[in-house]
Amino acid sequence: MSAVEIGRSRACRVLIGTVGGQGGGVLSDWLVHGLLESGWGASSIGLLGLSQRAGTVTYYCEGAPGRDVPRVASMFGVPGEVDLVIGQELLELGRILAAGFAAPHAVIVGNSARYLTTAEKMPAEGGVYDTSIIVNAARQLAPDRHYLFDAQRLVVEAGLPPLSSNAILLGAAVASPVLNLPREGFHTAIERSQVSVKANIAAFNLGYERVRDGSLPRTMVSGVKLPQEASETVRQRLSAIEGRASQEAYRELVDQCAAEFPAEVMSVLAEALYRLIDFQDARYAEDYIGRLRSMAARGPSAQKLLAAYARHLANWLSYEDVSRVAQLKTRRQRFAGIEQEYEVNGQRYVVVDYLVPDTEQVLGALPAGLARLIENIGRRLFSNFDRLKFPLRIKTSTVVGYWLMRLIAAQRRFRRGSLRHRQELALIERWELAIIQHLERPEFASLVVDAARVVKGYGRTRRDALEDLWLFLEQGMARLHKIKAAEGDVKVAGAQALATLSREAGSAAASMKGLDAVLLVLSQRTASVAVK
Amino acid sequence: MAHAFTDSDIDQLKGGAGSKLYGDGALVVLKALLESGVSYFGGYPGAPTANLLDAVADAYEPVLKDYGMYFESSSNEMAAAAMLAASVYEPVRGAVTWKVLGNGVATDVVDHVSQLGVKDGAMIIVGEDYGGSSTTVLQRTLPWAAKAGLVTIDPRGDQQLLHRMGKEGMDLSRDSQSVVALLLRPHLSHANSEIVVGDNLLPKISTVHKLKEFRKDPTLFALPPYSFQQEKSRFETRLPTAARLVAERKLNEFFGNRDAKVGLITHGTTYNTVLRLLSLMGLADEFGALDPRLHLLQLNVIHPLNDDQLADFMSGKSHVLLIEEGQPELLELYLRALLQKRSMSLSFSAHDRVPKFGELSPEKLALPLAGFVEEALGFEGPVASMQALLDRKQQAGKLFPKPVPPRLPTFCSGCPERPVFSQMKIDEYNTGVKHWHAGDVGCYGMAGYMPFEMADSNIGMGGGLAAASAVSALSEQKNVSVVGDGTLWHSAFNTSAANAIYNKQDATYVVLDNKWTAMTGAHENPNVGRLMNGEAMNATMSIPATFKAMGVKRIETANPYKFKEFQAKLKKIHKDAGTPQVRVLISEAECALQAQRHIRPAREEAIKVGKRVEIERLGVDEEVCVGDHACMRFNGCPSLSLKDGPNPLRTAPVASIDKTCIGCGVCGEISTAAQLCPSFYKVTKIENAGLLERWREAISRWLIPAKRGAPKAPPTAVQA
Repeated sequence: MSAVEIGRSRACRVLIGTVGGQGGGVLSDWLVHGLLESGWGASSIGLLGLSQRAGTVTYYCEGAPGRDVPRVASMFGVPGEVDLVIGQELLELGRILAAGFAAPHAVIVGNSARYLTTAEKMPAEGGVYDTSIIVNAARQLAPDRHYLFDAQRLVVEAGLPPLSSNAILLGAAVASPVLNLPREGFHTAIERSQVSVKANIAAFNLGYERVRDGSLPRTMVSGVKLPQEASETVRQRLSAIEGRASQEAYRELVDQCAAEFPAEVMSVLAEALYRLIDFQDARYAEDYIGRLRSMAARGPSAQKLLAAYARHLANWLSYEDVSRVAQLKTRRQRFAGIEQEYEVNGQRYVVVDYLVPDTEQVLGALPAGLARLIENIGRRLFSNFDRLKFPLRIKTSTVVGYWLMRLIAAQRRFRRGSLRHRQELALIERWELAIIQHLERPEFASLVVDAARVVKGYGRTRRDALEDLWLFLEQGMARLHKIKAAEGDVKVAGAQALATLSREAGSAAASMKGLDAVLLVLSQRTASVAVK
Repeated sequence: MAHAFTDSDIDQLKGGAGSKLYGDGALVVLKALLESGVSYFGGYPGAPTANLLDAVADAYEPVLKDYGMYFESSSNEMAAAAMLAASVYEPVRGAVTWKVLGNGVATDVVDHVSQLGVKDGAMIIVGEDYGGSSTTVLQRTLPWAAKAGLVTIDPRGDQQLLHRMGKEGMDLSRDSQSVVALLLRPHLSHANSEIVVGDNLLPKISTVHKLKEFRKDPTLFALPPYSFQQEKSRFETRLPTAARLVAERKLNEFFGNRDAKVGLITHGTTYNTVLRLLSLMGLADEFGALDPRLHLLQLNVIHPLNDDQLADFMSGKSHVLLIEEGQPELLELYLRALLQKRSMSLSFSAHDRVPKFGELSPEKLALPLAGFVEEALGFEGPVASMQALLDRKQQAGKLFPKPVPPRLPTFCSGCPERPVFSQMKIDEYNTGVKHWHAGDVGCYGMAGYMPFEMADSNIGMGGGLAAASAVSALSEQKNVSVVGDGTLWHSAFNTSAANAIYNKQDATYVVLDNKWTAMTGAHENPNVGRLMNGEAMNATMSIPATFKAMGVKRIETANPYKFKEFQAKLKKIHKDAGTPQVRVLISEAECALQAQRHIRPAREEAIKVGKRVEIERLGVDEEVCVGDHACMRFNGCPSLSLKDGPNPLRTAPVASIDKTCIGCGVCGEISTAAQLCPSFYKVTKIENAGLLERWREAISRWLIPAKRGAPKAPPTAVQA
């Protein structure tokens, strides 16, 4: 219908999603230069601005055979029209896919590694984007033409530096059916850039060859971790426990529990018993089992939530007091880990630990009576006694620092008599009482059990979190009862309220607000029904 | 310093007629300027033309100096504009650059230069930045340029054409004696491609061929009684000449069939988007050929317009669509007035179809353009084909039940500005008192994003503290405002500091002195002690001495990485907040990105030659971290992220510090100041330790059982 010979030749369109400052500019430059060297005409556009500082930066390239043929390039990718989508990072790949740029025939080459955004890191829970959504989208959009692989891992496994991960992505893209070009032009481009030439050419070849020989996996994403088998946990933890007696005790308790508790609970216990023996001793773990037993004895509805109860109770009972922190900081594994992470090969190294105990944490370590006495005197002498903090920098890698920490760690033998321990037990009992009160209505009880997951942190963070818990158990549960009465969905509303609560210590108000909103909708619904 | 052009990039600038140049828009424009024989260049850095200053700075020693080009890193846009005065008095060609925001800063001077007119050519390369990646408040240059009487070039997206427009623009300036504004959009500036170039032209008047003296002409005075004559010449002669030459020199381009009944008028890069969409509708190809039923006029010059050229294009057409990006819609008003003046009757549409404001991306333009084409050509198809593309977008969107979260920029690892905001945030957390934090323009504008959200007003470069004046006078709230060293020297000393001191404003003014104009990609400023061309300064411009001379009594300087000291000083000067007085705290530490550029190589060199070197990095104990992420909410460092923790009973990932950490220690300081947790630690690794230190290490390995699990190495081992 038109006189123009349309479709005479269509340039290949490429979008590259990157994180600012991670070498995306170099990557797009390699692509354009490589295309030019391969006898193509090519150009690229990168919109940077402030985003160079770890924000989203997207590069758009167009190229077609014929280096000297003038073309009219688009300044933007058009939705549904891009032939090759490269994601230097998984979320940035997702951003391009979600915006619908991929053409029906598009090839998708993406790094499955994540580089978290600030917004994802801030919430205590539920902040990190579910990457399975992106993987699924890539599968749907390009069923046989997607490669999502951990670029860093592949290059490191090949003995190359992690920074050459951009080159492996380029190699895979160039070998993929959408470009399918000889590699030499791109070698020249990498050489010209003078950026770690040898490693980058090797990484490029790796991606190129693995696409050519079909050995590059379509998806290589470490998705949701499957819960580990209890027996595997036991095997690992046995080797981690210090001291033969503790090892024996752990093994015995595990065997004993295996006979008594269902598999679902056992998968928690395998870890929990290890942690509690490590925290205190075998007797402490036995006390824990005792608590589980008495909860289980309260009938089938208690047994149903036993696994969750066991999990949160174990975390709670292994609260992080000063001697626990000192214990963890003087571990053999810790030093070995540091030496590996910091590539220490015999050099001198100094580890400085930033500690900041407050009045509550210091007093908590003392015997309850003595702590109370000091508290009484202290409060009279200092108006800000409860708000005192003691910032310490301890060189744990030096002889003095290390043994000071060991001394603090050794205080754990007196832990049972400490003020902190009494306080924690009282708090746990308060929580348990709330569980027991709700056992009649399992959907409520399971929310009460699960709410304990917010109890974590140190100092003020933990105090705020506890405050959140009690507010939820009192005011939140009261609202949920009203929601139930108004025939609302307690499970959904409760899970949502807990999700809000667990985002950040001090979120009780936000959580209550959410429940109020649910109530408001329900009351309006009731009102409109009544009018009808 | 951070100028990123390689020697081989710069070498291309020497290329003669017929040779090829591969590079970005900055390199292309600089080459065009060299072919035009410019004698001087100046400007203030800003996206998207910061790279032009980089190119000039990088080319200065190897190329420009020998050509006799004078190069100045102007203290602000007004200073840059004032450089153009040289072209008013003598036939010297010159160019300056700034980002679109600079138009306003430079206005007063630009108006003068434009009224007086220039002799041999003067050009302003404006970083037009109207798109989604814009780092400025949204605005177009056209209304400003039209008001100032500038010839305004808005080239389509083609680097070869950009090169031509650079040269034509300079000639047009000479022949119309008008100042030319060349709009360099990010799509041109940050585009890389290959072009064919011409011969360079050595300027007749230059630093190597100086004039004996500049001519004095009392009539070149922009006030009465001379100003009326200048105004008359501008509007009767100079701009009409420019409009005539635009047509004669074919600076605007025609595509398609001149007898077609349907016309399209584009400007700047809207041409590329229209062409791509037409090709997807089957009405164009990717080489610029159009369906014979269409005729397209691309306005590469958007001011002044040539009435005859426009009227000729529209006459005989039944339908014309103007694709104009942004507001105010001066092209549309002009064209509608022209139709009325010439009593032309045709179906004309513009912003009634095309989105009124915002960048005209393909997805925004697809349906309006298709709708017009269907109506004007009387056939169906384009709307459906465009809709099909947009449907794909929708289908893909459906695969994402949760929207992909935005990735907003953040302070770099080890940035000295982060700890300032961390401390202010912690102070807010500890005391519950919320100050008014007036921001200003610089990297620290990112304090407006998560996790700080502490740029309460962000109101234009240099005006930060001034923006807090009525705010703090009308509320009980105290103000703690920030400004960077670059912005201070740009304008804030006058606009904010002088204003505040003179007007007895109550203010705590925190100067983030990172020794660079960092936001633009690290440019020299008076703090660096060096000019952008590499020469050393011959004077010391001290920030505290300047404040002192301005009458500020309370001036403190503190290291932002040392929280205790910094907080004590901040507290000290902020103590009497509420009394009308300006108090200054200078947070002094070099931009980490810049510092690392010299620290890293120096460190590697030192290790190689066997000198003792300390390497610091922070870490998080994964067993001690319980995953409350409180640290993240005061930090936001890219090196501090999350990973799966060792305790499967926990429901949240733990904090983790990766190898990009430069050991600034801020996470540890935050943990202490906000009293978060004992998870953070610092490791100092010592390369080439002395004998005594090696002995101490050996002894500690012997006396610390936990260290014995680690691999042992002979105390003499030295790692390179």
